[in-house]
Amino acid sequence: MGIRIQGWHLEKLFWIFRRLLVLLGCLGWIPWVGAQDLGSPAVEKEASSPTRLLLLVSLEVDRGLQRSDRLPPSLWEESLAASLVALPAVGSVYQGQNLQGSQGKSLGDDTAQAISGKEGTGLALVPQDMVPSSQDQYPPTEKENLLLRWGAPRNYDYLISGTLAVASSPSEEASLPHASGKAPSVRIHLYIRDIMSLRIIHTLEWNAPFPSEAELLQTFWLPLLDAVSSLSSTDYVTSLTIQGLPGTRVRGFTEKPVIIPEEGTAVVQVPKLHSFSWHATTPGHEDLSGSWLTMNEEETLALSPLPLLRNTLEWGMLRGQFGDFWLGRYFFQNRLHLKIGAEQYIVGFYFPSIWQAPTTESLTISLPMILPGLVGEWYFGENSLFIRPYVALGALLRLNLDQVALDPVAPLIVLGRGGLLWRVDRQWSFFGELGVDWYPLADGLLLVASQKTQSEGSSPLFLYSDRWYLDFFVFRCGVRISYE
Amino acid sequence: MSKNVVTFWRPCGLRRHIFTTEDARRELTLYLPAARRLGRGLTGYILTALLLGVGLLVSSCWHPPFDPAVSASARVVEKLGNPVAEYTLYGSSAAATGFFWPAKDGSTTFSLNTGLWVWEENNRVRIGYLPSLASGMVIGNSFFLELPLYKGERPWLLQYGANGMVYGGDPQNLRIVQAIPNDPCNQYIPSVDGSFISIGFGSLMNSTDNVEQVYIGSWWIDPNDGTSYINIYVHKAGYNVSDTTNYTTLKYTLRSPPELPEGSFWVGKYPHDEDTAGPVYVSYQVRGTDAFVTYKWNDSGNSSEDPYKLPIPNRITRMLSTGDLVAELDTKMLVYSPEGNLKYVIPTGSCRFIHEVWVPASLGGGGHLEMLFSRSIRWKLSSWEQQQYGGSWKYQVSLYRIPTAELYRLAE
Repeated sequence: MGIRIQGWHLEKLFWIFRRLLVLLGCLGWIPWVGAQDLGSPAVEKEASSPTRLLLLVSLEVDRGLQRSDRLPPSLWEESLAASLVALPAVGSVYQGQNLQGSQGKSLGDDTAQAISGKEGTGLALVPQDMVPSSQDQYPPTEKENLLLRWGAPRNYDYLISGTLAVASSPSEEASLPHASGKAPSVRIHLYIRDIMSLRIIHTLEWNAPFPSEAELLQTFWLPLLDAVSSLSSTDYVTSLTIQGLPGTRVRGFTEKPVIIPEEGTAVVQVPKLHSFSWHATTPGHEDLSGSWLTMNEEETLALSPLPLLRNTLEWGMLRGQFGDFWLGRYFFQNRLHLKIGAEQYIVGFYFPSIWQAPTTESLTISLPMILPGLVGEWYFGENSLFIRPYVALGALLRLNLDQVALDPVAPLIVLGRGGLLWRVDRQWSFFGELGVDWYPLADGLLLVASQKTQSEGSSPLFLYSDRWYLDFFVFRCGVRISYE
Repeated sequence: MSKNVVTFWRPCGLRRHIFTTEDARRELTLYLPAARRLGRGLTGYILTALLLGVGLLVSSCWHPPFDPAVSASARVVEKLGNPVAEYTLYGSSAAATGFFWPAKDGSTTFSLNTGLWVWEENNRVRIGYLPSLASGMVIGNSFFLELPLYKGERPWLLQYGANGMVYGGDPQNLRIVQAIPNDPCNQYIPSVDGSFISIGFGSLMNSTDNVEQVYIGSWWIDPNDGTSYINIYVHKAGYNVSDTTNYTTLKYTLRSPPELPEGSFWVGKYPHDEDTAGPVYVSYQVRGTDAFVTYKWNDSGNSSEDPYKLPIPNRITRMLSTGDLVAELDTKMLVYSPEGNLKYVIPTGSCRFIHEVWVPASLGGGGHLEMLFSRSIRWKLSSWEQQQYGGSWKYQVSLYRIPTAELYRLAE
């Protein structure tokens, strides 16, 4: 018997790969799947210097300037970004035109949907009362809104946006700068907007001669660079109070886990308007986790974890045929599960002729053997996950009831398995596991003969020698009840 | 990451052809809560029913690597030592339960490569003849005698003679058959009328003339007064069993036990010589019950003696030269003293006790009786092996001997 992969298309493999990724993500094994991880600039900011500025730039370039063949249309914004990023106070600059795309299709629309869920529905992360309303404030344009929604969760500080236009009367607009031979001046109107509060900090307006490419990169943006040099990094902080049992470790809000002291309350300063994926571990209790968005100056997160259920009763079916029963207990925050119990061959299902002609043979089998043993299971992931993978290692004694002694052909099984525990609720869980059974000190040839239908030749289902026997694809499923 | 790289960095979510973290998050959002809701809605009873259903669905044709018969034979073979003969054979699926029964001819001649191939098929015991066994042989499923199993009772069997002659007790048709390969059968059937109850079989080696004595018991009830009795006939093996004038003669008449037998019964006498008075035994399943009883008469020559029950809960099938009684179960052999006390429990399983043979002094150890065991282990052949060897099964046949006086060693 072999595993047939004929007919498996690439799409099917890709589909499986995707599902595996989903599963891993669910289990928290993909560190880059988290609410905080919306882009690397924020990480960059924390890693390098919290005082360095993260800027967004977006320019509306007048059609008259765009039609000029002296400069590439994109160079206006690129030169601004390059000039800004050269400032020591600036950490990084993101160009708005990158969101617009360069292939004619507006990729920015997709991003807007990804951020807010619906295009043009206002600000994703900013409360309505923070929208500016005074006379010198202007609501952001649609394009700016897009950039703001993109930049806010990534901890960008300021948006620099504005327009560039030809500084001449509308009647002369038709005469192109290169066609008339004159050097027209350019009118620059820019304002700097705080991304979090949406307030306009500075408004700049000046005229300048039409620049060459070198001027654009060196001197053209000097008035703006002066204004940017005076800016400081925005610093919005929420004072977060975490209430919980002493000894609780809360990860996700700060670089190091917060440990709740004896008094049961810990206060941490965290960025405001920031989303966190947090996880709390309390000794003897179930883990808690969730997402938290800091909206106010002071907030409180109250943790009330449920106590862990440590004792277990387990009923399984070996290969779906033979029932077994185990008593167990969890240790180490429900990571280690030790259980004692027995498998048995006294009662079981057996369909040897299910694929053959109708048979009058019994569908059950009874062999005089029970296999008492001890099994240890190590669980990965948090104890509150509803699917937890585990590995198991154990030993079973093969007690031959017919001879009231250990079986002379194979007295022992060492089992190794991997499985998934599906926690339906606090008490009930399903599990399925797959692994190998190794029979040391065994006469492998006699064990093959004992299976009645197996040939002694090579098989994908087992390996053996005259000293041992190894059974592959040992499948077991069952249900587990946990209690205090 | 340098500044410039950050400047021109493009969000990965826009690379639509690669499965991204955003995709993972979206799928988790869609599917995981649904799975949780499904789980919460199930009660414990539904979970249990679901588990049973899944268990049934995935149940396979896997057989645990455990066979009580093979395990039992492994234990006894350790004590029997090296086999005195060993063969690798190939056979058909019909002979899946077969074993080799070496032949003997009198107490002084026994063979290790001639004998019977005995197997069960279609609720019958079938017997074929193997005149010269050698490794690599393909054994067919031809047979010269078949006897039915009756209500779980296996037919009684005795092989005697180099020509493969067999005496078989038929528990269903209540007769004894004497068969020789390729020869017409002889059979002994009691004169059945309303007073006939049952027939019994047994055999003992007569040490005085080295001929196997076949004992045939017929159980009768007098319709007039309701008294019942058992006639014991003695037949010298090798002669015509149906000849009741010369070779199958009435030897003893005994008072019968109070319980009637379900089918046939086993009869035994000690000592071997039928002319020497001694104890006689019968063992059978009580009619209408699952219980087995064994009765004993102390004096075969006393027709007025009432038998008494021995404390043996199994059906006795053999008597050893020591006078001990043997009950053969599927995986073990129980040895009782002449008074019915359990002496040894010997795991046998695939290693069957065939018969006792006399090993003459010329073979070493002085003249003594030995018990001969035949072990048969089988493996199914793969399809290409079946084409290569011409059979569905591969058999490893091993023959072992142990002096009867050392039988206790197998029970330790």
